[in-house]
Amino acid sequence: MGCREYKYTEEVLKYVRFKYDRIDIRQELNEHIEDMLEFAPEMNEEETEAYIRENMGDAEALGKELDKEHKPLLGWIWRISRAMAMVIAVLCIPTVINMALLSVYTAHNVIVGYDGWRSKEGIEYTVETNIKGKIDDIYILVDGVDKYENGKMVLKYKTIHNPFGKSAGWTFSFGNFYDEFGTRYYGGGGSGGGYVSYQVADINDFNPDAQKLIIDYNYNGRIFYAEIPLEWEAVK
Amino acid sequence: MSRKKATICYIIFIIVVGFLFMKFSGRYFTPEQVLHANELGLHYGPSEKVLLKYKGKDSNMLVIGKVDDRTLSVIPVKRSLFVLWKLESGGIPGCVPMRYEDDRVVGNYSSNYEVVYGLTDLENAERVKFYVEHKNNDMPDFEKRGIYEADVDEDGFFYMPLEKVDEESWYYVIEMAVYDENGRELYKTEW
Repeated sequence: MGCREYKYTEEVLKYVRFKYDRIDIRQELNEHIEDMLEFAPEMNEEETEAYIRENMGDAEALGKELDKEHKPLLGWIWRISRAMAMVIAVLCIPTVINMALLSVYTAHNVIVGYDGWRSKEGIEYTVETNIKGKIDDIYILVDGVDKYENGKMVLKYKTIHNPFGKSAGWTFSFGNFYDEFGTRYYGGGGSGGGYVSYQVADINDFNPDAQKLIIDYNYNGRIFYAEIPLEWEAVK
Repeated sequence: MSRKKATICYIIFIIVVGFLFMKFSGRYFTPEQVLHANELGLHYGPSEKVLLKYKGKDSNMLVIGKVDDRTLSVIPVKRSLFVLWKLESGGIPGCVPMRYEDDRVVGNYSSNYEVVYGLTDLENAERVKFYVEHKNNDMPDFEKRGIYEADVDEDGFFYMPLEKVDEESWYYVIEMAVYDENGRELYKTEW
């Protein structure tokens, strides 16, 4: 519902320096005046203005009082911060969607575990380990090794990326493995990605006389060293 | 809620959500921050010094850091949302070390940025000379372009803008020679 224009209101508004607030103040004052005039006797325009002044007080004093409440500096900070908050909220939408999808994917990885990356068929023996380490912002947990009927070995390890760390979110995987005789094995495999990544490394043609699988990651000063004694337990 | 309280809430929101937004979307305040975050993500460095911020087309920039006397860190970045920076999409050189233990110089060509850059660990190095060879699918073999020279700075770093011949070719820096201030050859490699 539109309000009438009152000279009194316009005079009050002259003293409010933060112009962006004038619209709201105008509406509030006019509504207040309308309410007040509802119970007033019938009057012409001049009489109405005089009645308003009489009941609302000095326009200059009210205007200066309102100006104190609506300081331009605070007004500008409020206005800019509100706009920035809205922009950031809108910008976050794709990131939030991306994070949600990544979280769902991570949850899926956790549920599926290593079974998504290596077949359970044909596993004869296994060794469980609980080796932990950290490289930059990535926590590494080596969970064990499976040995298949055909002699192939599969190393199972999790990598957990700290999303609040300093590093950008690149993946991590071990490349090479060794036995105690120094023979090197390339460990190709697969990984799940996401914040928690279940990874497997296939190690083929491992020396049957070797008793240890050695992880010796040493790259640009990042070191992860672990010896896994291959004390096999039969898988039921 | 009073205007003052609302403003405080907005500012807190901007700081907290802005931080999370930057963290989870890979955006940073400076190109150097993108360089260091990706160095840690790729498990090398961080660079002890940023040697070059080479402006490319549009709002892209090739940031080159010195990891040590024998290793460069090369990360392409691009402006994002006017005031922030993020990793440029596509392949990145990342860690660029000297290939072999007895190498004393390394040089690369960035065809996206049309610049040759490299590093030598020879103490008295003042200049380098090198060829750039290129090949595209229509060419039977690699073809050498002219010989080029670049000054070596106190960090052993050198770079030289060099326009590419065509969009399709891939390029290599070859036959590098390093000279001291008297023009004496200190080292030469032919790879």
